[in-house]
This record gives sequence, C-alpha cells and structure tokens, in this order.
Amino acid sequence: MDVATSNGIRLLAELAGVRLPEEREVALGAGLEVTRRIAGALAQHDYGVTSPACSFRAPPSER
Amino acid sequence: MSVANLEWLSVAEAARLVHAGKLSPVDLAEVNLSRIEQLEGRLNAFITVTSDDARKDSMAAAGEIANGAYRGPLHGIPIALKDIFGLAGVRMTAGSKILAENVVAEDAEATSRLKAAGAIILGKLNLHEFAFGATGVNPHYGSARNPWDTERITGGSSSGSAATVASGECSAALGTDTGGSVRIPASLCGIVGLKPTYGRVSKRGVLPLSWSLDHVGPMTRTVEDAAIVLQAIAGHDIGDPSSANEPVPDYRGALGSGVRGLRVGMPKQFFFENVDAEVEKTVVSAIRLLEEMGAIVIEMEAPLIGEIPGALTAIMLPEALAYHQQWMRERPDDYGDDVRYRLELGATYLAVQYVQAQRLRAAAVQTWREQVFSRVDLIATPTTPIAARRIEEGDLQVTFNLIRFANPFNFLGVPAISVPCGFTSEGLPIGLQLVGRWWDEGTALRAAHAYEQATGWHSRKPSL
Repeated sequence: MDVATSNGIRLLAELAGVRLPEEREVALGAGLEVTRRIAGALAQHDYGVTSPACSFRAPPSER
Repeated sequence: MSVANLEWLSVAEAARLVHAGKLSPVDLAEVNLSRIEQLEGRLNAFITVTSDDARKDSMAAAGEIANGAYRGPLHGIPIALKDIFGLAGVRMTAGSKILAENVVAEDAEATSRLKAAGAIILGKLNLHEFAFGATGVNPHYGSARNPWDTERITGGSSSGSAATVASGECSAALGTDTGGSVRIPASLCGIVGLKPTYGRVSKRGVLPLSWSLDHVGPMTRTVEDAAIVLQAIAGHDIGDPSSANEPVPDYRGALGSGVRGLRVGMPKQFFFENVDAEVEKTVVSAIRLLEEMGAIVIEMEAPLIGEIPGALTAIMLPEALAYHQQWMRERPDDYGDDVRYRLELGATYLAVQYVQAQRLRAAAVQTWREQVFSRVDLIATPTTPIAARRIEEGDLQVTFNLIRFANPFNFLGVPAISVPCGFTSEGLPIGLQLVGRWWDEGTALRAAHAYEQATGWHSRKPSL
C-alpha cells in the first residue's frame, strides 16, 4: 500500500474515532477500493430535487 | 396426540388444540424444552434458555385459558427471540463478547406484544455477532448449525432463530433483517421468514445495526404462522421514531384468496444472474407453478438495481460504526475479526456519500412505486443465489452471495417473504422470495400461503 493511501486511511479512521493498528491497514486499504467505486457511483447519480427524507407512505391517490 | 409429534405442530395447530382444551400449554412448553435439551449440543441455536420462566408462564397461561380468558392464537404458545430483543431480567448478548453480561431491564416492544398475546418466551437465540453478518458464524458462542446438515451454516444473522424453528425446538421465533437477516437463514434452513414493511413493527428495545435499514420479522414453519406472529407484533409504537402509524390489516383472514389474477413480476436482470443452476431451476419452476395457479407472470426490469447495493452499503456501514464507535475505541479487540472489519470500513464513508445514498433511496422508492409496483402486485426472485455452504468456507464471498437478492428490499423498505420451494440434490433447502408493495404484507403472505399449500415443501423435516 502506498504512503498516501495509508495516510488517508489513518486520517479517516482517526476522524471516525476508530483505533486502527498498523496490521489492519492493509485489509482496510483493499476495502477502500469498494468505497471508491460506491462513492463514484453516488457522485454520478442525478438526484434532481430529491431530499434525503424517505417516505414509504403511499401517495394520497393510492390510499 | 402422541408426545412424539407435538414438536412439529405449527403455531396454528397448537393454538387450536390449546383453545379446545386438548393440549395444555404446560405440556407444550415441556415438549419444546425437552427438544431443546436433546438437540442443543448439535445445533447451538440458543444462547440463553429461560426454562424456569417458560414453565412458570405456561402454567399461568394454562390457568387463564382454563378460566375462559383465552387471548388468541399465541396464548400458551412457545416462541423464542433473537438475542438482540430485550427480555426484562435476562441477558442480551447480541452474540458478542462485549455484551456477554448485559442484563436488560425492559422488554423490547415486540417482546411485550408477544407477552400480551400470551406467548411463552423460551429464551434468546444465537446470531451473527451484533447481527452484522450473513453467515451466522459466531466466534464467541459458536455457530448455530443448519438442521439439514450440521456441518453447514444456517445463514444469518438470525441464525439461531432459523435453526430452532427448522429443527422443531420451537414453532416460531423473532429475527431482525437489515440486509436479509430474516430471509437468508429462513431460506437456507427451509422455513418461512418475513421482513415486513419498514416501520411496520416497532424496533424499540432491539439492539440496532443500522437504524435506516433494520426490520423486525417472524420466522416460522408455515406462512399462516408468520401471519399470526406478525399480527401480534405489528402496529404503531409512539416510542419508536421509525414506527409508522399505518392501519394493520387482518393478515390471517386474507390468506385463503389464492393467486388467481395476481400480477407477479420476474426481474430476470440481476435477480436471475449468477445464480446456482439448481437454485435457478427450482425458483423458476416455483414461479411457473404460481402461473399455473392463475397468477400472471410478467418479466420486467429492476430499476436502479446497479446502484442500490452500493448505496445500501454507504448507509449501513456508517450507521453501524456510529452505534459502535465507543466500543470500537475502547474494546476493539473484543470484536470478531469480520465484524470489526466491517465497522472499520464504515470509517471510509464520508457524510456526503451517506446523504447521497439516502437521497438515492428516496428516489429509488419513488421509481419503484411508479415503474414496478404500478405494473405488478408482487415480485418473485430467489431469496439467495446459493444454498447453505460449509461453515469453514469463509466469510467474504459467501456473504456477498447470500445478501445479493435480499438487501435491495431493505433499501426499498418493501415487505418480502421467503418460503421454501424445494431442495438441492444434496438435500439443502431453497427459498422463493416474494416481495410486495409498501404496507401490503397481506398479498405476499397470501401468495406464499397458496404456493405452500400447493407444494407442501414445508412439511419436510430434517432428520436429526
């Protein structure tokens, strides 16, 4: 794992309040690739005016 | 009725006998406790068996029923709880070392509602540590074993719930489902598992994994029993902010309507890709049978399905880490390796991704409402693309496969039921997943019941 990735992981862990021993960095580095893909996909989506509040109630026309 | 048969009674059958005075709740509890004693060395389904309380409560139930105060179909019926449901005065370990001695003061709301319905609580069931995994492999309490082959996983995270019901130790259990944790073990162990609509059942007093995605649901041997248990636990709870104030229909009463005219969507994209050949063949046959029974099967797309699993991950992992943050700081070495890794991964998601994932969820709900559930009443898929794997097979790839077809419906919040639909050539159960509209558990139950009654897979029993 390169130094930049290692430093990035340590910073993220520190900000999240997670103690991350050196031996666990490599595994997390592999997981970071998945995070990157997911973050990329989420950044590409066109959300329009959608708010993060999700309602499962049927609209009045369907009730 | 001979004592030898009593352990396989469904909730509905036992209730009829109890109500008619032909079976005492005391005898029924003894049958279950004796079965647990006989099998636990091989199954490891329970973390705590509350034998003394179960005996006491069954005597009280017998007295009430004898005095004419019959409460309904759960009165005097034994049921067990995944060990993340609060049960007052009993430890709630969550399958963890961290909470090994954690005795809770109050019942979870679902526990209270079961007790109010007269159910007898048999104990607390094994699970994947903190419900954060799909295999049921647990490094702290040992793994629950699949009754169909005790060298194989039950699936998880509600592993003990599936094992205890499938083995005849008890006829019903509660589980929780954040990414498939009711339906996956139900499928792998050959029982019925129902994840209701998000907000249908209160989560108050249930240890959270991911607030946005957690659901409580019944695990039973028959669809009718799932309807009975759901009826008891469903409904608004002002003490749970995620609980919805929606009317609760008569689930059991609507079971017998059949599937004639129901429109069943079959999303071949994603849900029938990379599926074990035996599983695919079996599930397709099950869907064709629904068609022969009068359902209208419609092949369709699954909108946004390429983006949903990633967005679910971007919600689940940070929420789980937020809940576990203090323990991760103070006691990280007390977690099992796989759960600790998933929690650490939660640190790699930023707030912006979490919020975008929640926005995607809102958009996906709207899209599925307009493009899917306007065209069909139900969706049918395999519950899992694979059957139960060997315990030693490892975690990462197996987990990825187990959750694939189940977790999109946690994201969407729709009700989904897994019902047994056949067996592999190795004798391992396969599950059919039926997914309904929001708040319409009734249609999923009705179709699952019709299928179950037409096939009888639920009456097969593992040889233990």
